[in-house]
Amino acid sequence: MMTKRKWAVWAAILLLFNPARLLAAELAVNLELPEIDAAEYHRPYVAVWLEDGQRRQVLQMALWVEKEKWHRDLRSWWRRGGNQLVLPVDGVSGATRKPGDYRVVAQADLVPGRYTLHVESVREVGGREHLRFPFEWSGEMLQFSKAGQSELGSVTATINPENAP
Amino acid sequence: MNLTPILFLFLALLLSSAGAQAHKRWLLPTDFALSEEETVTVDFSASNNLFYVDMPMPLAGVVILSPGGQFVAPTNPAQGQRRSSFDIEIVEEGTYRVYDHGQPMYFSSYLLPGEKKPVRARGPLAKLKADVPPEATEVEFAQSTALIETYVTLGAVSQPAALERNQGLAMEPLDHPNALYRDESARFRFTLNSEPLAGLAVTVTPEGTRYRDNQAGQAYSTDTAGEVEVEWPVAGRYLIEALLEQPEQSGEIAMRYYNYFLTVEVMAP
Repeated sequence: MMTKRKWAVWAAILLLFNPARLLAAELAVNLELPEIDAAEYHRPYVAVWLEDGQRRQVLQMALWVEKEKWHRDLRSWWRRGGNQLVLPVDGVSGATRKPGDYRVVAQADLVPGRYTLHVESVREVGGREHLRFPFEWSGEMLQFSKAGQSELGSVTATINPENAP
Repeated sequence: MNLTPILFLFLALLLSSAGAQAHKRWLLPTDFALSEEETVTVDFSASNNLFYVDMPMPLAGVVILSPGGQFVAPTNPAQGQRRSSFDIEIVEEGTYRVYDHGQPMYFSSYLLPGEKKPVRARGPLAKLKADVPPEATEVEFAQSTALIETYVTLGAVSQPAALERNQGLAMEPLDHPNALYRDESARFRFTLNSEPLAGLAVTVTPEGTRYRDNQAGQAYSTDTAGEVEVEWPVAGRYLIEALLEQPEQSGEIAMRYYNYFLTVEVMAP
């Protein structure tokens, strides 16, 4: 028969290794929308979001769009949950942005495991680019960066447990 | 005068109006080359997705010329929500020319005292002129025209009939537009008011933009003879586009925009 003390130890061990334990994170994405020299330039539609290991959208971070008719052109975002999202999303959805550097920050409580951070940009009569940052969330700080080739410039992301609320 | 913002504003103005004129506009026949008399159905749409219809174009300005240069009336004209279409009974051997040379559109722009944003309007030139208040400054008028065309051939290709008026931006095919093959380049000569036009930017885009991550448009510039030699990376249908912005030094029109759109089919060899 277990003593009260043993129960407490087991409970502490379970709490420590329980995969369903939520770990608070602050996700920050710095992204560049490059200047593009085009005869006909339209500002890009941009989506930044987080997917879990089952490719479900678990966090919307940014959505810069205009006409609803063309939301579907953010193909990956649309397919993976954008088509079910009720707009507007406070602090997330808004108008398209001109070329420049932007910072997107969001807080989330995340179960440890596999995730992918997505940045997708599509421009009418232009191109489309989709950058993915797969990572393993264990409560440790993570940093990654990629350079876009066409519709995105430099994109860096930080996932920081310490800044979490 | 810095032209780019003006063009941008005009495009925005066009975009906000009913015709959605800033979009790519194209005539797309079901067939470009026939071996037997047949009805060809032509879609006429304004759409940046090549070649998926999006918005209907008015049919009133469509002209069909038979190989012999006779006007042919379209059958089954229809204007729907997403496209306009019509049929052509192709019965004569040779090349039919299908085009919309449209009437020019006019735009005005002027400043009112104390205002920073110019007032803009579009409509018939006489009305635009009449609507400018006497206190307005920096009054400018612009004109925009477009030639949208395609060709359909029954049997052997022939020299297409001439445009009713060879004014504005036009193209004389040096290689026949209904005999294009992926393994052969093709030459086209662009003209402005019937004169060869050098230095014109021409974009050639293959169909299927919806299913790829880039336009894949090839950019060409006409040589001193107004000519471009176009290569075809894949078989399929292409849109050949050109836009000329021509500032005028004198006269009441400060800027003329000329748009050109041609749909062709390139066969696998």
